[in-house]
Amino acid sequence: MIPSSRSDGPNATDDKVSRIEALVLPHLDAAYNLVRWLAHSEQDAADIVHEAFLRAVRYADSFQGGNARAWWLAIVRSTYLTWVSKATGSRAPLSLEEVTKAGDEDQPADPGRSPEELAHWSQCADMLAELLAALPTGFREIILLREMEELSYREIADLLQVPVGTVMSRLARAREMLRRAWAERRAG
Amino acid sequence: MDCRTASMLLQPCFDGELDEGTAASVRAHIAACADCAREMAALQALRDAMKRSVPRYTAPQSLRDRLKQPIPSAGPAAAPLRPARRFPPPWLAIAASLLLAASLGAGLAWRWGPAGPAPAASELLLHDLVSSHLRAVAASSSVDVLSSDRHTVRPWFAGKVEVAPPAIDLSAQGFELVGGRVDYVGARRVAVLVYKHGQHVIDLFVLPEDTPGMTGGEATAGAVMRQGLSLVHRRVGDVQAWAVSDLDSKELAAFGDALAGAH
Ligand SMILES: [Zn+2]
Repeated sequence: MIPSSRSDGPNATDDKVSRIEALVLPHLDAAYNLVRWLAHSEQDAADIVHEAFLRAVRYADSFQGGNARAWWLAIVRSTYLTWVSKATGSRAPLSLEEVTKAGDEDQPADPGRSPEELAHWSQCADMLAELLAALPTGFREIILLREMEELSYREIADLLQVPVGTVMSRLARAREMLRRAWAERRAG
Repeated sequence: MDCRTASMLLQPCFDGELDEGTAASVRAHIAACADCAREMAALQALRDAMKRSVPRYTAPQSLRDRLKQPIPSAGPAAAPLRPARRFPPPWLAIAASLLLAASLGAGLAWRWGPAGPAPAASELLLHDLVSSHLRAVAASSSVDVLSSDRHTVRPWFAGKVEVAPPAIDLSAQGFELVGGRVDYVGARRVAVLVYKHGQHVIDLFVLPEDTPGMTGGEATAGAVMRQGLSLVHRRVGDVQAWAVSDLDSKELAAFGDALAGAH
């Protein structure tokens, strides 16, 4: 970022930073928890939240009141998506067919997870956490937003920028996948 | 309340999304229906188990320290905060969309994003287009209306967006229309036509004339690249359009030319 030479001077920016701090710092843990669950890595999660904070300051004017936590989580999530697209480098985004397939079938755990990460899970969290971590990202995300962040359907719809009907169907599908995996694990 | 309706409303009821009257009807049904009662108990069991055993991460101190460091300034001066918006009444729209199955695109009254003319409006526009495209391909479905028939897709947008998309058949040129969705650019709802070319998805954003950054002439002829994606701007008849895809820039420019030429 380039230091500003604008006439509004440093005070306007300081004001903006303090305003954003007041808005988002109370929800820093929520942001970190969400990204930590999406990105599977402490370092990446911290980097993403840091970048999201800088963006929030940059987009400070777009907050027009309402639910600050949902506004902030939306920025965090879009920062995460940008990060994913950078991390996958030149690899093309998922094609439509792959995406549709991912919604129709159970997917294996993210291949990016390291053996240390898996060992960590087996030690300090029980199988449900492990199963949640293995859900495809879009389904994991919606369960987190609903069950951990306790956002309403409307807030989730605004955050994901999808219709409320899509939130309901995706959430139902995510719960179904998690329940089935859980039942199988308990049975096995 | 019959079992079919109740079972559709179980999860919204469980999530506290129903108005009190509807919730009472669902609960009355559950009391009399073993299947629905079992389903409700399973939802509760999952929630309890998650509360018990899914760890909640907290932001490390090192991150908090990083956030305290001074930030180089950027962007326009702070605008005064506008009065708080209120969320729309939660349940009404949900009931309608669920029961009529007509929820597609009946989306949001507002969104967040860069507001007003920013230092580089055209750059923010490109950023928005790229984000929307990535969001769509990352979602479980990137189309709200699935149809290869342009005469079905075009009317579907009526009343949902300001600028109706053109109905152009490019299948002869190898670009197959697969459907459309309503997406957001800046604060506006816009029509997106989704085409496929081989395995590649092309999102065609149809934008209002006064979209900030729209007149940036940089990309008029060739394609620009952002985050590994190609973007091409074309005027199609009387509408402005941006195409976004992971196609290579030449192929996407060819798509743009076919589009502009077909009109
Ligand atoms: Zn029933």
